[in-house]
Amino acid sequence: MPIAPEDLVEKTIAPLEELGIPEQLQRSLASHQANLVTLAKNLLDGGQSEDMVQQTLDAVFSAYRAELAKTIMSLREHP
Amino acid sequence: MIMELKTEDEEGRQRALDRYEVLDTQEEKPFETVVNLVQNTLNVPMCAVSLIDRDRQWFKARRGLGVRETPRDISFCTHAIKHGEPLVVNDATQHPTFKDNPLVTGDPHIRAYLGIPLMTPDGYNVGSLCAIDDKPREFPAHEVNILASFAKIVIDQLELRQIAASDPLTGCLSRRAWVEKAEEEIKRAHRYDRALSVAIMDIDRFKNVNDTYGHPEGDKVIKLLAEVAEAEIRDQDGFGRYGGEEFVCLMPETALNEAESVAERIRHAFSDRETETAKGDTLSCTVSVGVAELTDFETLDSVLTRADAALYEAKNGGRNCVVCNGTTNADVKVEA
Repeated sequence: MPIAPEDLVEKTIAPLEELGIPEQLQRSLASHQANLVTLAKNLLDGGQSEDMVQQTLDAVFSAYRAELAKTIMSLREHP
Repeated sequence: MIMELKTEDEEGRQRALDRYEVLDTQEEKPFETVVNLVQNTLNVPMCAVSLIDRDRQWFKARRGLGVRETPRDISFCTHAIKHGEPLVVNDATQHPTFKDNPLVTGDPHIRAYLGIPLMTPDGYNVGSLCAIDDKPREFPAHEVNILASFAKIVIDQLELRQIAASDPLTGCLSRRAWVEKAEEEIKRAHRYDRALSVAIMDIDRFKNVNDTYGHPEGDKVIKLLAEVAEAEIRDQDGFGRYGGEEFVCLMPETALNEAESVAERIRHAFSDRETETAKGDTLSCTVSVGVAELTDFETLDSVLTRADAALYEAKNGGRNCVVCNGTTNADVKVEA
């Protein structure tokens, strides 16, 4: 049975909990998560394998995560 | 929530782009990642995150394109942002709008183009994510959908950048964003031998405000200074919250005497305004300012240290005044 795009995205962003997302970033993260689900769905619809889709999601989210971590640090230093 | 697209409001569109503070910035990994993925996924030789500025398109990230910007009037992306729909051109040499375009007849010889508008959450198309081929081709629906998904990822990144760049209380630049902007402007000032000044300002006796009226009332005072200062500075200046009740102002192309005038205007405007407390009292505060002009080969740390020394002098000299740190020892104090 093919994996659902939501599950692929969940797998990608799961380690994020340790960061402790401040309130002002929650909306950004929710929007990004929804957009990743749409991306995963469209890549799967385009015929990409689950592995390839996972790799794409990992690459996109890794860049977002790094920026998110920097932003969290900045908000903590200068609330 | 689906936001209404605002294609007729060019001034608002430009403001939305300017708010991102992204034009003429360095390469950044999130955008590089997207163009890499688009190039590989859609198998195109060229792709870009193109932002449409007043009279140019500027590429935040690009693959296969030799230039960082082009005139706006020849860009495909300026057509893409006029509508809420993807712009698909299968063969530009046969397209009535594009067949004589210099980007088609000359380098980079665009033949096929797919552009997805980059729409901000408030409904402005600030640019496009585009996939370009030098051979004619069709872009099937699933490729259009994939590129549209990547375009939303680009907006996510721009929005996240903006959160990081904004001070949540005042909306002015965060310390991190201000330092980044200041470093860039200082490099530019040294490269082109241009003047640049910085000011550091600190609200006088702010602790008393917090202790007497509470932090929410103190926050109102902080917000008022940011509002007053933003109204007094130019678009190209950068006003940031450095921490607590301390703010910094970056003034490119500005010599010391002009910077002093700006600081004086802010100081006067702030002391003329009041905030109203929840209990109905009015609060009026003043600000002390230190100003310094960048000298040859000077770093941001150094010019800030000199401005800070001038601020220290302003505080010791009775507050509510502007003190300039000259390039010599002959500092100038302007009395309130």
